[in-house]
Amino acid sequence: MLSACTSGAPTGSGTASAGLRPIPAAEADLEQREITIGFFPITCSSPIVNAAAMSIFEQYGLDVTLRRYTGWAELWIAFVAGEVDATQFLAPMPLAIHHGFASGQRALRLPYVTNTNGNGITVSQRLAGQMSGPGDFRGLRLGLPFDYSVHNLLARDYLVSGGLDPEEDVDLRIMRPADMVTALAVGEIDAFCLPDQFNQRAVAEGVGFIHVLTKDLWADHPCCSFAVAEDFAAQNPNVYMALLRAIGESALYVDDPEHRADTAALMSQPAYLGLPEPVLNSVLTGDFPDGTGNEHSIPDRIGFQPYPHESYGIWILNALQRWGLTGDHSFTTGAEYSRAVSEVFDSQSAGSVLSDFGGVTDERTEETVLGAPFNPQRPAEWSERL
Amino acid sequence: MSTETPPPVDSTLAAVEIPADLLAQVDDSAEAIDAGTVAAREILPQLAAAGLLDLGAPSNNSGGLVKQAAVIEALGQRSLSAAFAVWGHRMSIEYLCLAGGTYAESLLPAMRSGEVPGVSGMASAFKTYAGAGELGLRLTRDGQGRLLLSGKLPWASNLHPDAVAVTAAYGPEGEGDGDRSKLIIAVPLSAPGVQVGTRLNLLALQGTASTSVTLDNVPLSEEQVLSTDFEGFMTRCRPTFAVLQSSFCLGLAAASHRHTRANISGINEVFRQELHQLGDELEARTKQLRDYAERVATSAPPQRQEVLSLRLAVGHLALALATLEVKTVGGKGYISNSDPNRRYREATFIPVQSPSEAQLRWELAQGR
Repeated sequence: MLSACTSGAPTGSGTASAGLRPIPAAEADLEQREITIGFFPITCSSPIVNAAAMSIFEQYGLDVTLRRYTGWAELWIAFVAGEVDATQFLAPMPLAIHHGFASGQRALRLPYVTNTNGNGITVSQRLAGQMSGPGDFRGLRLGLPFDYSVHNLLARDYLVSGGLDPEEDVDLRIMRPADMVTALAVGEIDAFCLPDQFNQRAVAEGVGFIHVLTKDLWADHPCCSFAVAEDFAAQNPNVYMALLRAIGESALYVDDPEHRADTAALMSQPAYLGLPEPVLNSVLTGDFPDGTGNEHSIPDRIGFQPYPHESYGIWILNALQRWGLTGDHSFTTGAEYSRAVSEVFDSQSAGSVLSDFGGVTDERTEETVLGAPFNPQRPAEWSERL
Repeated sequence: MSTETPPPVDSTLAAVEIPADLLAQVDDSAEAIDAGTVAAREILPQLAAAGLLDLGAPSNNSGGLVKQAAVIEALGQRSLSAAFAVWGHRMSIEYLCLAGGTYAESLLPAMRSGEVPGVSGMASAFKTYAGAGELGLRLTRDGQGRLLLSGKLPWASNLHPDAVAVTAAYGPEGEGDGDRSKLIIAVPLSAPGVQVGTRLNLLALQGTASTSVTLDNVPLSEEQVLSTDFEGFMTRCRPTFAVLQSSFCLGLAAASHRHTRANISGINEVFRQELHQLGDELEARTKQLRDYAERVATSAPPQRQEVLSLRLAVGHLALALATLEVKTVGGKGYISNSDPNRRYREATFIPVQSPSEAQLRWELAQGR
């Protein structure tokens, strides 16, 4: 039964997997077929959702049920409680959940980031013409999706770069993302830093303009991730690798600029993201109006190369520590940071799958964040600069 | 027939240190709380100071739920009103912790410290979740797009003017996945348009500030919507809800068992067999509750049916033991302000309180 499901699948035509190599025999021996994967209905989940929409999971013998969550705290708790063993998370969440930075610990592995870039800061139309840089956020109320989000960490550093103290000079509000466009429209918040679908929706509804894309603050930064509970992955090693193959293949398919418009059409269906196709299309193709009358064409507005670069984890960990989000844990040397990240980031499994598929697998020796170099071997140097 | 005194029941759920003076104070105030001359909320700050108000919040965090259950059980032995008020407050903390976000976080410090009481306005929500009812609240939007909340909570407790209620409402028409989206929301009772109903003449639990609440176009910010995942939210909080409710039922049952046991000689010998049976059941249910509380939100959680069955069983047990206590205590049991009579009146609340016995039986029969 399982071999029948898996052996013929990758050679089928008209799907993302056409022409890809068959699954190695050992992996066809799945410990179980059924698995529930948690996801958040945002463009960041594209590789996971697309793998379901294009039946890529099935081609690897998996019977996947997608379970939708709309609050990150709820998803955190659901994962810790074992409601789901595999899920999308904001990129900083797996580090926090694995190491127990806040209540609710569960050991896990993060084999992939699900997307890079794909976010922005949108400001209310009431403030049109008044926002030239981060210093202009003084006294404003800024909506953020979660403490353990790159949105929070990057927005804070952006505000610092404008000479502001994010905790004193700006009213930071953690809210459910789905509520923030309305909150912006009715004046409950002045701005938000969120995935691009919300930025684009605020533009489409005439309530906000895109102030900055986060890719211009940190090029190719991680946003969301895919994580699997350690106990599940250890007990089901073949399922784990099949998930990585399916999602890796899906991510690289979606990453191809040729496939962006088709993906937008497919995922706009109610069962998946349930978003208006023009909004998804603007996000995925990078052709979009910004709400100030300007049109842009930025093909790398969002990216889907899934390799979990250690430099991503170290920047995140450093930022979490700077903002008091690592609980009782503290990290000083580059080696300490590296150890804490490599315990979570499963770059070995990711690398083995992605190199078969021709994805990016090279570690990055440096990140450039807010115009400054960040050396993952010496994270302290960067935080001292702030 | 044996004349031996029935053995005491080991009713300790978990090792947790509750200050003796606090327990003595609850003992001393039980009658006043019952009569409503002292508010049950008075105990909240003291419990908070001892670190006993947010154990295991949320979702059995750090395995603390069984300790919270033990605290509520210990209170239930002394005053069901106090235990019930703490349960409602603790559940409000659970809901806010589960939801997270700046609004919830802004409320939590004053609730964790016991300063601001929490109202668990979820009776209709649990009925709706079970498929046995409708929500009594509905959100609409005004001309500017702001949220307004209207409707009625037919029954809730801890309804003090400074309290915060967590409840559920239908979302504005045309928003969300279906035309009847259901949302979890938080509302301070001090908000304009909130009207707490008149004080009711209850059989017991007068100090729990229990009555109805009417809401008329109460303005809500988007932040006050705690969750749009109604089913998921209810699934996540239900085990904690039922475990902590079962705890006060067990506490009440244990108190009646203890007092009856001391009174079983002489002509009351005829009740010995019944007391033995109920004592055995009390011990078994205590073990079961401990087991379930420890397993909530783990990879081997108690099943929904198991938790509901336990809640139904301990409700029966509390009422059976309170009745037996009244039967064995003599004329004293018929004096309305005596302790046995108070426990009996308290026990009659359990099948009425949500989820009512009717709802529990219905849900179990439906296999839900």
